[in-house]
Amino acid sequence: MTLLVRRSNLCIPINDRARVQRAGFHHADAVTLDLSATAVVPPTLQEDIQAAAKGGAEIFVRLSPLQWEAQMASLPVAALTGVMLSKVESVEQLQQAEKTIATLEKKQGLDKGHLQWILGIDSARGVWHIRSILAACDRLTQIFLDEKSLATDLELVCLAELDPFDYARGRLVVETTAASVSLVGMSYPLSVTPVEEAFTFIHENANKARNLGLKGVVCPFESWVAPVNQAFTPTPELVEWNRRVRIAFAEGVAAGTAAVPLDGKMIDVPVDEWAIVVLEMAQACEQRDEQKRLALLSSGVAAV
Amino acid sequence: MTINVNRSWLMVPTDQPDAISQACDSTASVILLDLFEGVAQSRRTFARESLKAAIGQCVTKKKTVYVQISPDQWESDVRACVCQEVSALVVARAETVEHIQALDALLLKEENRLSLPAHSIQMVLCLETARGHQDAYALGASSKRVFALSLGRVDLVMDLRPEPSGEIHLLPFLMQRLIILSRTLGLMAVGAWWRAPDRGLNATADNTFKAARRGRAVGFSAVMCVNPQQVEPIHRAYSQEAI
Repeated sequence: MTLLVRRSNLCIPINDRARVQRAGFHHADAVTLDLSATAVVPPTLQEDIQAAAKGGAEIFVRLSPLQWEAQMASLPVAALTGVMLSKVESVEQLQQAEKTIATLEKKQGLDKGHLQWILGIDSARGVWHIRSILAACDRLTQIFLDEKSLATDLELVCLAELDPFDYARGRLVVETTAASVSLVGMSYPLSVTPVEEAFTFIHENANKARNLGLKGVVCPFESWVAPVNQAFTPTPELVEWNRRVRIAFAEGVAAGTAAVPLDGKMIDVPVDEWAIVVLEMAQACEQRDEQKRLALLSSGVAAV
Repeated sequence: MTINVNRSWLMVPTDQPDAISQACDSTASVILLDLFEGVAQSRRTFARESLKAAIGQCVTKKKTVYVQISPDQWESDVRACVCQEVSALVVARAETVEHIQALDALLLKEENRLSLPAHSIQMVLCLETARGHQDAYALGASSKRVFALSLGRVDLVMDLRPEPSGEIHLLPFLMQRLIILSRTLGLMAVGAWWRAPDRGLNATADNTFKAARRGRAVGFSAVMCVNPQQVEPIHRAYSQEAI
């Protein structure tokens, strides 16, 4: 299976033209042009997509929960990686969207499944019905747990020291992992009150998100992208350790045992299996970063 | 979803008139007349016989009245409590859809017999057992009378013990699951985030305030309590100032 490297997804309101024009230069793995606050697709969307794609990012559009059908009909589908749809709560809703998107692909002469879904789960109903939602379509690559909107749906008066989403997040981590779909979001309370902060603060919170089972972050600010990318990329130390794990384990197996000591730790089958995952992810991240670097070079613009 | 202003539900044993008087003198939004948990088995019949007088006491003080019925004597309890003045039944240890549907049918029969509007008495389900939690969605959807779900005394019923941190094992998981589930079904979630040493709703005023405030922060909209002194802290936890 190809590893999905979509650590950072920079989400920018489509009406913020200055930010959209610079969206490609921040090294985000993906850029989402946010149409959720507008009724119609702006005529400049094709141009905006080209600008946002300059740094090699995958390009998504986030549709309005109320106007998505009308918006979808006007999308330049071929230029997009996919669509982010919010307020997904039921299979019926998703099936309708799936039908619309398939018709659109056919109309524009594209293969079925060209567009990927990122679905926003931001209500109790969405959390509760996640298993059936995940099973309802094949083009789904990521679920975005939008804790800010979920807090609104639950009418929470949040306390920073009390994470109200342990259950919701845990349920989504288990269900998405079982369905081979990535869960993205941010750790609490930054997920509910996103702010621009120092690199180390965002890095620390992104690390926390990764440790909670998330596979990436939807970034509302450009300044989040670098610390998020770093947090979701295996560190050189981790890579080196896991290389040694693989060697030690292979030597153990050759000697007739599947459990060997390394620096005082026990290396057995699950540790070796995890080492494979870490090394593959490190390689995939390296390749993705190289793709983006080359894309930026070919666009002839220096990165910011 | 209906906006709830009944934040504090003060539970009082129905066989104790003095306790009921004290409860009625409090500012509790709801007086929850208990026929089960706080009533000795030998006094259950007496409690049922005292129910009409207890309801009268509450009504005189213009209180909203709920009645908690027992899982083992629910038919007798229902027949004793159905009247215009009782707004809701609290179903302790709700476990099966069949039970809730049987309750619903009996309530309808009693409402008809007393010429009360059909479905005028609502239900609150206390999910206090593992089986109740396992079937929570089906239970919540089993009758249109159900307007709220609660954990009741799940910590005691399921014997959930404190962690060294004071958190009670499984309680955060069960609470947050109940809240998500309640909202999915369009129901209220009733409860507070209690921590050791508080078990069985009994706590100091300060700990009640903290538990209610934590509960509000994760999505509860009302709190059950057992002492009149707990009422004010609950209201304070739900005030604007507590944010």
